[in-house]
Amino acid sequence: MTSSVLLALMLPWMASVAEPPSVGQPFPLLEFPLLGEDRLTTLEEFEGTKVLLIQFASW
Amino acid sequence: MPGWYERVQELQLDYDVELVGLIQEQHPERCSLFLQWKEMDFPILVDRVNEIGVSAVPLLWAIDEGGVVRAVRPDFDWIRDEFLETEYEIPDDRELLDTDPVIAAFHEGEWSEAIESWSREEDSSGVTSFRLGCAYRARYDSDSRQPGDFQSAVAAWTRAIDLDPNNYIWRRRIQQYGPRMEKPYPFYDWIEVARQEIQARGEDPVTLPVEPRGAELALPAQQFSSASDSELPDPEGKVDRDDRWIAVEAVVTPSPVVAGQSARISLSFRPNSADDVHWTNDAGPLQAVVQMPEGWQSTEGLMTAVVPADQATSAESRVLDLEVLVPEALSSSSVALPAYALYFVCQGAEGSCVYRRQDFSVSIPVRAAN
Repeated sequence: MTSSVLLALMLPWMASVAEPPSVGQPFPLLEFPLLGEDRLTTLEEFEGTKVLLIQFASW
Repeated sequence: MPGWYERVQELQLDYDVELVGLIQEQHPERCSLFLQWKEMDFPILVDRVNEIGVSAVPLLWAIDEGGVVRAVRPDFDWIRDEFLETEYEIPDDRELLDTDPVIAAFHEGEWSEAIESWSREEDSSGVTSFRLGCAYRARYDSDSRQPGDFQSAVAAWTRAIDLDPNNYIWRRRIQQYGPRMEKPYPFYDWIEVARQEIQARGEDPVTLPVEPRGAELALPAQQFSSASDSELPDPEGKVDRDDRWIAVEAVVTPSPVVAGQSARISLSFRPNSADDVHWTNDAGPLQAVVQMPEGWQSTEGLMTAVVPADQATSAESRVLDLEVLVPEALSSSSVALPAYALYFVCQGAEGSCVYRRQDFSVSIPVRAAN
């Protein structure tokens, strides 16, 4: 396996790298502020449960 | 989206599935108000700097019980008939990513630290430039605001878009604060309607720390015209000048602006808190004008700031917005538009109150049209 392929596989796992995951890859466990609460959380909080993650905006 | 929300709620009666939101908005509290208005309640993760790296919204991810993405933008039938009916494997352990220290600082509200780091790390991807713009704008909206923060945000976002013109999330920041002509539709005109409907239900609307204004709101179509100097106050400049009580800042979006196109100017007037300066509201409102050179046009002539109701004095920052239309034939250059403001201010609780004028200029970087 070439180094470029290895790097491509690693990209979704690297914090702060702006590459969204593809189908079949784990959604990265990045810490985000929880709206309305004074704490950070990750999707790990919902592990064991299926999640429908909706990215949207109020605009 | 509310219709979609109801369908998910119906699924949740029969299946163990969680609805989670992820937003990239610069002012996430507006999303809280939106959810309250639409009577929706689900956890929202805030990714202001777009760490996840999407280039457009809305976007739906179906993530299984082990945290693996099973579909992006799935249709509802697939969700119900396949995704929720399938039992996926849960891995023994998952890797929690180390949070990027600069993003962690951003999450903690340490804007200056984030700005310092991202300023050093700007690269050809545009990612860091976008994040730098977010940090500048966040500091602008905070108590630690520095002169030039908003303009620096616009400049950083402009660099990001120049590097990757296709990123819709990045472009939205420029559109949000930029000229009306570049907007596909009004972004935040729903807020006033939402507040009225929430109050009609007997609830208190979520408080917004940063009110939408000017470019972010729907207003009647803008008409450009050439301002007439004859209608302006103090035409001969006889009012005494202020050089220390009110700090004036002008932000131009986009920057540079292409000749023949429009730019939005946001003027902010901030009392000098170190000297305990405040507005004296019963004396009269703040007025300001940006004068147009030959061939330039503006949406506003003399502008008047809104005065807080029932407050004899106040010390808030006041903002005035206008749009200017740049002449088509202009070559690449920086044009200084002369401007001035007139206002009543006082210093200290028992200090004297005065009427002052401040002259300033608004620098517009122009890029020649192709």
